[in-house]
Amino acid sequence: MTESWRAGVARSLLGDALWQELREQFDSYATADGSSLLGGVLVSVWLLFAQLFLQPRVVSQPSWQLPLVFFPHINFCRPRISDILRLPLQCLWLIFFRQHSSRWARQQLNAGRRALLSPIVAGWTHLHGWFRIGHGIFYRLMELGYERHVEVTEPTLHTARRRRDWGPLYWLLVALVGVAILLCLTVPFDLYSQLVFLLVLIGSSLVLRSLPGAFPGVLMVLLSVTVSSRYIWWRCTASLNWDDTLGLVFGLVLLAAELFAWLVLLLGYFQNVWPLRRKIVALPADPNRWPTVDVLVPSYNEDLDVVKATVYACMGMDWPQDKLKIYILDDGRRDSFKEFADEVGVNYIRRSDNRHAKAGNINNALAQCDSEYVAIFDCDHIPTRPFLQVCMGWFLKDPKMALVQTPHHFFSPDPFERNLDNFRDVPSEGGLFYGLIQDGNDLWNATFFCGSCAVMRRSALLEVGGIAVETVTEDAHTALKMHRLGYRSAYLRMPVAAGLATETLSAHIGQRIRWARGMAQIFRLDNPLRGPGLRWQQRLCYLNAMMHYFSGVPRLIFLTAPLAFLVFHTYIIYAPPLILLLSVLPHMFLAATTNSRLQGKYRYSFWGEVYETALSWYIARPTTVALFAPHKGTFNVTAKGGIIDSAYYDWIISKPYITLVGLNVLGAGFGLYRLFLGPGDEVTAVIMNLTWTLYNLIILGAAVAVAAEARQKRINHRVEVTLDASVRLASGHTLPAVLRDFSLGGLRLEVADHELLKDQRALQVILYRGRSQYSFPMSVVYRSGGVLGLQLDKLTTGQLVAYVQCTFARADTWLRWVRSYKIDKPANSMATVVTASLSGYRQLLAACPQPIPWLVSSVRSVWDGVLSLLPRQIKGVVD
Amino acid sequence: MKKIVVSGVCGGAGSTTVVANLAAALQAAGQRTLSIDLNPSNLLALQFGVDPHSCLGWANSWLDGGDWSAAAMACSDGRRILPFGKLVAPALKKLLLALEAEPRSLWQDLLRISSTEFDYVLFDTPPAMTAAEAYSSHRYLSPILANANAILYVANPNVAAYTLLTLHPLWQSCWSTGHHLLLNRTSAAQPLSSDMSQLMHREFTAVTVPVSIASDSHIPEAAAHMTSVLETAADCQAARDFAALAMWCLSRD
Repeated sequence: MTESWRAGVARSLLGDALWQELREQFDSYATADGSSLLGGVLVSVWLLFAQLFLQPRVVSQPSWQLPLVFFPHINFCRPRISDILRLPLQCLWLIFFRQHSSRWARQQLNAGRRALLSPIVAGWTHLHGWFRIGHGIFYRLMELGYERHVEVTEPTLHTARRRRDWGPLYWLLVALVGVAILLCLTVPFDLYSQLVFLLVLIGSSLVLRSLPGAFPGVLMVLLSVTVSSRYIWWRCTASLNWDDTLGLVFGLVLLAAELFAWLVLLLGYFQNVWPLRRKIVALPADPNRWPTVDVLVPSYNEDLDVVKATVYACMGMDWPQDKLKIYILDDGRRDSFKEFADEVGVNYIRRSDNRHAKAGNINNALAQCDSEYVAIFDCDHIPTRPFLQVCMGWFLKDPKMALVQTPHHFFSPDPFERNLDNFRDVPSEGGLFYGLIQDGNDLWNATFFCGSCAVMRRSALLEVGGIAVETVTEDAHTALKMHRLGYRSAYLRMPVAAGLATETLSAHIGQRIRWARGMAQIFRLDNPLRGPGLRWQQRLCYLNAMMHYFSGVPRLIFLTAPLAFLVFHTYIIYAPPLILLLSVLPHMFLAATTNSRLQGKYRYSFWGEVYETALSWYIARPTTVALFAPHKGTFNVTAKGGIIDSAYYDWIISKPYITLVGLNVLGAGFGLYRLFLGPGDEVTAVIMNLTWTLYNLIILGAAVAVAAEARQKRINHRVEVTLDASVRLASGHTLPAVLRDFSLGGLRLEVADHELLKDQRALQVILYRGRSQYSFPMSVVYRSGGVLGLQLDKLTTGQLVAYVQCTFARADTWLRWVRSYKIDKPANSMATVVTASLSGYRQLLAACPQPIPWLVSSVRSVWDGVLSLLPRQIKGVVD
Repeated sequence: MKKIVVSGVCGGAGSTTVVANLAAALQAAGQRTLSIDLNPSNLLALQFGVDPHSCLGWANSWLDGGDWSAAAMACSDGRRILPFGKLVAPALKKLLLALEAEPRSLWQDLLRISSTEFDYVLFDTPPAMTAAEAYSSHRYLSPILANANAILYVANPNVAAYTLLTLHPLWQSCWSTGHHLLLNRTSAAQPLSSDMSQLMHREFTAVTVPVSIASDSHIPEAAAHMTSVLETAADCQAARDFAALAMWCLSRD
């Protein structure tokens, strides 16, 4: 009331028009939280003053706006005490520094960049032409190799090639090349030539990485291998301190870890440099000639609902019904499963014990079914309709084909994606394996079985004695045994099945521990480097698959190595800092750019380190144990499809990360001490080790962030899509709709907001599958505007099969997902890792017991307060 | 100018509705359309908002020897309609006899008035106008059928239409280029209708139009409002289906 009284007086004093103008000006000063008494008076006085005494425009700004322009960080409507500091600081800033518009700054930057880049761009265009020619020739050659590999199916091929007599000339050539390589890798450089070497390499790799095609990629691999091998040679021969025992021990440990990393790098290049990208082979036109297939769905403790979707999808696969038999293999011996199987008309197999877990379960079923081929799906992997039509062609073409594997595609986020909130933005952990590695293995006929989403030839499987039971990774081991017998395997990189990812980080780690242990067991019990039947390429591919799981210990070494210098003050790399820098930089830079080039679509830079770091501690022990005592350890089942009631921080699983963070923080503390109080000639070494520590802390922070379990509300995972659908009301009105997401229980539709939808409780949703339409009765759970949340009513088995076919089992659903990832940009990727890392530390501190969160928030508010005092760049003033 | 003949496979298939709404959809896509009613029941005009009491039509003008274009009318959305007109029994008999004697004259007259002004001319014919049938009972229609760019046979997904199409000798030999089967009033919610439309799609894959018109209460409601479904409920499924059908027509050349 008082306000309006005052306003009335002011209005009558100033006149209506002026009052209105001042009112509007005042409003543009006021923020959402209104104004204080002092602020109101201040601003009113200023506005009145400007109106009466100032020109309408000063420095091309409306004069009444000047404080807003020059003091953007001060809220004049609510002045604070600290503004006494902000005002003079900003004044000084305005007086002593020229203010430019951001456009001016951009222009300056662009001009500079152009001047710098134009010769490079010209050179690049020139080079590009040459590479195009080179690439053409190279591609032709590789294609010839590909055809020979894929087209020829006689099993005698490889032995025949081995027996061919190469003659002395060949061996002479090999010897010459060997000597040349040895010279290349071992000739030492002085500081200056090393610098030139570094610059040339970095320059050429930068040019190469932006060139299209596979040829530049291969060149990058060659450069990277050369540089890394040179580095390793230098590390082995010239960087160990033989006089200091402690330094020598630490140095040897680090060197061993680096040798391991180097070996894995080389093996990785070998595996990934030329992925096969195998195509589908068409089936005969006459379905009568298609073979019979048994579909096995093993289950142990999963929910019936999870299994139902898979069974419905299996029933809906496009395959002659009399040639398709579906078996639920229930190791949980649950009557509900048996009832369900009887109800929908699929076979049900139960056994009296659980010997050898999943492998035993499948072997038990193999004895009871009789089709020519066996398709295996984990009970939470839903095949799409064309699955068998995609896979079976290769078996008919190649009589020695024993296994066709397809990727494991996940439609729910794994713990990394969920807790870091980057689902469908950053390729998942499995993306690299199923996108690239298996395809690379395929070139060397070394694709191995991954336990699910695969078809196997029954005769071949029986020949190796069924699924292997000696190790806990029965899948890879079975494939290894089949390869030893001369069978072939194929990988089709098409997401024709999709499933649920593990729910929590602890479950995820549990699964990886099992894989790691299993791989170590195979390494001991059936080492791929020894034994009959394999080609050396296959041996290397299998070796690399195992090496991946031995990375725990080396990763831990890398995460703690800088402590040796910072804490114990011993030189583990005994070399002048500058030489070390010049040696290690090209090695790291080329490895990173080459991997980014090869893996860009499937794994972003630095994320590999995050995934490895999160697992390192947990797989270090089981792999080491399994290496020495392969029969120890138990089998654990991966739990999937659950809910997480509330967000929490997993203190137990994150213990090793926090310990490592603590060690690195300790190291950083020592480092800072040495930097400021230590001897001056050590500064470079201290800075290098501090940088390393900082990098470790960033990567560890991301791992810490994964342990902060986000909330997971629904049992049924929703899959986001954009598909046409329509809604039919009880009145017969039909409306077009867009399907936004679906799950097993229901779906979400978007309808152009329509009057008719009001008060509708039940309706029919029509989904399209090719030219066919299917209608499903649903109930409205919620409606807001045109968005409808719907729940499936009770459906018949036929309707459920149709529903799964229209949603999860659509042939095209997952294809679009895979294409949606962008190419890796290392700098962006680093930025996302840093963001994840910072949020990890924030969550960690917030989850600590009081008073730590309180302390953190106080420090933050003080910090923010200090920052808010800083002067600001002003906008909108014309230069 | 393209000429599209729309004919029901059997009575009540909805060819009149298809003509009215397809014309509206084509018009909305920027095409100038003329719809001509060749059906003595004169019901097409109703869906173009023509006064139901009006007796005007091309048949009257033809008998009187007057100007045809005077009988054409324009809708608010730009569609043109040429009704059949209402004839008493003796007049109708006289018209048919005259047309039987000289079947090509009707066609030539129609061509004259429509060739330049329109992009699409749609004909609504009596049901079951296969070419063979036209020769025997409605000879005056045969030049129209012979000269049309496309003939859309409208069928509902039911057993009667299916039996007729698969087993009746009249339909055995009628499919040639430009002849298409359009499924109307498909309803996935009714199992029989859904099965029949799948069956008909499969049996007549080569000739079936890839768009089918969903069963939607908006269509009869629009007819009750004497206009097209695009006007009364632009965002309903039927409106979208007709728009898709129009696109299909436009994409064929």
